[in-house]
Amino acid sequence: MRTDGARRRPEPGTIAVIVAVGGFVLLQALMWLGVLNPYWQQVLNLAGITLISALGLNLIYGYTGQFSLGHAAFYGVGAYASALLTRSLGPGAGTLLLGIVAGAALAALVAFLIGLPILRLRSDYLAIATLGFGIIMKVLLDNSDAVIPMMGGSSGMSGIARLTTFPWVFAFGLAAVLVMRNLVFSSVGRALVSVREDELAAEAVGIDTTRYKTLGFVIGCGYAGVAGALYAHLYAYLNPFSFDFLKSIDVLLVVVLGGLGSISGTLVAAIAWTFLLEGLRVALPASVQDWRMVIYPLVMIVFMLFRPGGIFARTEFGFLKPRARRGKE
Amino acid sequence: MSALLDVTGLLMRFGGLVAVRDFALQVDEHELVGLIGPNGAGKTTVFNAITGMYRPTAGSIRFRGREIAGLKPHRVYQLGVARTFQNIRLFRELTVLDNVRVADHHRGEAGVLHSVLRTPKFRNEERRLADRARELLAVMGLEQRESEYARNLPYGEQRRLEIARALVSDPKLLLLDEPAAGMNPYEVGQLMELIQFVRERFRLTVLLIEHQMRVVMGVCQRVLVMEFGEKIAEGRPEEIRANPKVIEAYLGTSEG
Amino acid sequence: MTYFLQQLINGLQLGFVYALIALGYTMVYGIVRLINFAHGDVFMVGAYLGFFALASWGLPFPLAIVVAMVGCAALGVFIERVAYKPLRNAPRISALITAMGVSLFIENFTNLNFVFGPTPRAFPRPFAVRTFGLGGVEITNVQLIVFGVAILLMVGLSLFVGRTRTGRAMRAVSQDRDTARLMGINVDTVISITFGIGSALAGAGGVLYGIAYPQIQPMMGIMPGLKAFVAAVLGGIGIIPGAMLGSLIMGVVETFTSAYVSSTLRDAVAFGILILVLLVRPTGLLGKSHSDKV
Ligand SMILES: Nc1ncnc2c1ncn2[C@@H]1O[C@H](COP(=O)(O)OP(=O)(O)O)[C@@H](O)[C@H]1O
Ligand SMILES: [Mg+2]
Repeated sequence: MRTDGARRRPEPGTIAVIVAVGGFVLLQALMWLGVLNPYWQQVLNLAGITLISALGLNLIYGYTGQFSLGHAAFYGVGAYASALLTRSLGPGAGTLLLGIVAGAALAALVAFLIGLPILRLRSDYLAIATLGFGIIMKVLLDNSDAVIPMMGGSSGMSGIARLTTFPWVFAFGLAAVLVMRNLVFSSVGRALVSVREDELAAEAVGIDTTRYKTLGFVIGCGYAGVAGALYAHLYAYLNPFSFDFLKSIDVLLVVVLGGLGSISGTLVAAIAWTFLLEGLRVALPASVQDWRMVIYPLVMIVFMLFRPGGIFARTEFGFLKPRARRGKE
Repeated sequence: MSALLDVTGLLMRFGGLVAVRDFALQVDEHELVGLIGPNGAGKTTVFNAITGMYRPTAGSIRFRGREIAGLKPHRVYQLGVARTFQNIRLFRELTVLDNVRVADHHRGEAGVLHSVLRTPKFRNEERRLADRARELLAVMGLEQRESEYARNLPYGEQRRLEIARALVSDPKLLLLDEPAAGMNPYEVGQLMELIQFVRERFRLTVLLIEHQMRVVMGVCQRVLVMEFGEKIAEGRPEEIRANPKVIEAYLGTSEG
Repeated sequence: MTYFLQQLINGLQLGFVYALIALGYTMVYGIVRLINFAHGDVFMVGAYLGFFALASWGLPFPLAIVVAMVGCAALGVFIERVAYKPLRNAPRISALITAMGVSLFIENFTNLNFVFGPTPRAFPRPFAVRTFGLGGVEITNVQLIVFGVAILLMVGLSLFVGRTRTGRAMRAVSQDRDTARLMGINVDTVISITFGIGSALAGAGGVLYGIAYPQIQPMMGIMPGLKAFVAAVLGGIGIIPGAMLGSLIMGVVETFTSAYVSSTLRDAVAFGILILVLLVRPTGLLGKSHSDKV
């Protein structure tokens, strides 16, 4: 009886797609009409990329409970890998797609190799190990020209084709949200969360915690790889500086503000935060620009002290839940 | 017929402290055995060794004839040994239903790909997991609570939820670590009835830790007594009650 | 061989500066289990206080160290009270994120033009640099001062922790906070004192860093801070002699990497050591291992 009823109700996923397509058409229309000028289009793209990367970190930290301070390193791996690929194969939609896939795959592979040993560590030890990994990666990127001259080392890599456009970002952003939703609301997702909640108890009920920690980490870093690939082809220039420790904190901030373990939270925070930062850049006079960097950590502290769960505190928009649960919520 | 669980020569050392020494324990299929002893006697440590939480310093632990000492806890669980914890360990930010069905996850086959693509295989499996979990919740009288977060349940219900979680994947052997702790005599009586009931219904073998002696006397067929890491007595409840060593061990403790 | 010894001396100089920072990290971690990311920035503030004491107020060098130590102690206690104390019972990562926020705040706030400003400043040398030859190896009076002051402070700290009532209270709180409270120790005061002492040492380290590597700017604390933390982990976090040992090793390894391999790789080597230590011996060189109770 229950299953029949549920089957006829529209899937919330369908609603999500309708909302998304509506949003896309609206934004594209605004661009054509010139309401959204190229500057704000760029900001919008950046927001989408931040969203993808932050979703990945939320999977790692918010859902699986593994605190990583090295997210930007995987973002960098994706960016450089895809840029190398499109520069070698020549620009085009096909190579961009290939670049994104390759960037994600390489980031995931690196995550797998580094994750196997270090995910054994707990909370702050894991934090400091991932931070160390991020710094090592930055040093390697700084010296990359010694091995691959095209990567440019500390002076940066240029000559990347500008292939990332709004439809690309939108399509991957939407896919990222839907994949994440389907993953989180599944048996696999519950296994991930059980690791976050109590690793020992998870082991005690048959969850191979090493496996699921690695799984969450690898998928989350794969997200970072996708984001990095889109980023590389948005600005056409890469510098190791963009993938340092501060960048990792940036993403962490979005995840924390939006809410650990909430897709909706990351969605709202990624977009709001990117636009706020850029908005302040435009709105504030040059003399007080530096204050942005002061306000930013203050927001972080205030949230930790007064609303550690973030804006959404483990809740979701209705259309991001798979199906209304039976009984009272 | 060989025992379902056969522990011999178990030694558990932490640095200089010997928590369990030369411990042996046999449990036959469908038995209900009590493990009692004063606080710090080493009872929980025995559970931790059996379930793979600790690797024994020495000794053998055989389950259905197979050596399990040193296996990872999730492997031991998958072989059919489930447990509860002395200090309840639920997934506090998961719902009651999710707490139970996640414990059945290892029997599922739909992995990441099926989940992401929401294939029919995934849907069937989710349905099966939910149905099975609800069955257990009904047995434990928690069917009205399934959407509640585990952390919001009152203490007694949390204890029952932990048992439901331990039962969901059809274990052969259930290890209960002081399930009656913090309950009043009436609740304890109810709990013991419940344990008897699930033992019959699921054809379970149960090993029950308790540090209050009288709780286990009524239900267990056989009782082991530990003190300072060693087994000091073993036998039927009435034998244990009359055993001078046991009386001495419990002398001066209010629980005796 | 002389080159080797020369690099060893340079490495020890760096190591002693790290040690003064690492002590604060390790003491704070030992007592509240928090990686106080802002500690490297307290070190930076110490360097600036030393700078002002010498350059603007014309104080003699020993007094400049005192000014830096007192100022940093106050800053450390203030940070603890405002940002960390409210989170003492929150998940550890919440406090860690807050610590990163505090760190970024101090860096970017002092980076503002009306505070310290982003332009690097030359640290004044209160005395002429003299070089002593020692069988082909050269050692400067700056290095001797760094060694001397650092050793003096570390001996002082050891005596304080080992011999005084407050020191005993600190050890008690780091072993078991609740029991310490039951024994009548004022845990809040002890934690504040720990932050104060640790920050004071970092302040002194900042001034020594200033005379040894005479250029300072608001972001200067980031890398030494992180590396000092690595040193604390290497020696065994929470263990005072471990922090000293780990720091000296870090300083020497880093200097050798620069000298014999490549200076661009020295950060990678430092953090490579960190990851290796965490994997092979997370309790550090001097730490004792123990298993978690279930
Ligand atoms: N991981 C561990 N590390 C050190 N000592 C432990 C550990 N686990 C248990 N112990 C010690 O082993 C002894 C037995 O503990 P336990 O098995 O919990 O007793 P019981 O469950 O009978 O009350 C105690 O002294 C306890 O402190
Ligand atoms: Mg016990």
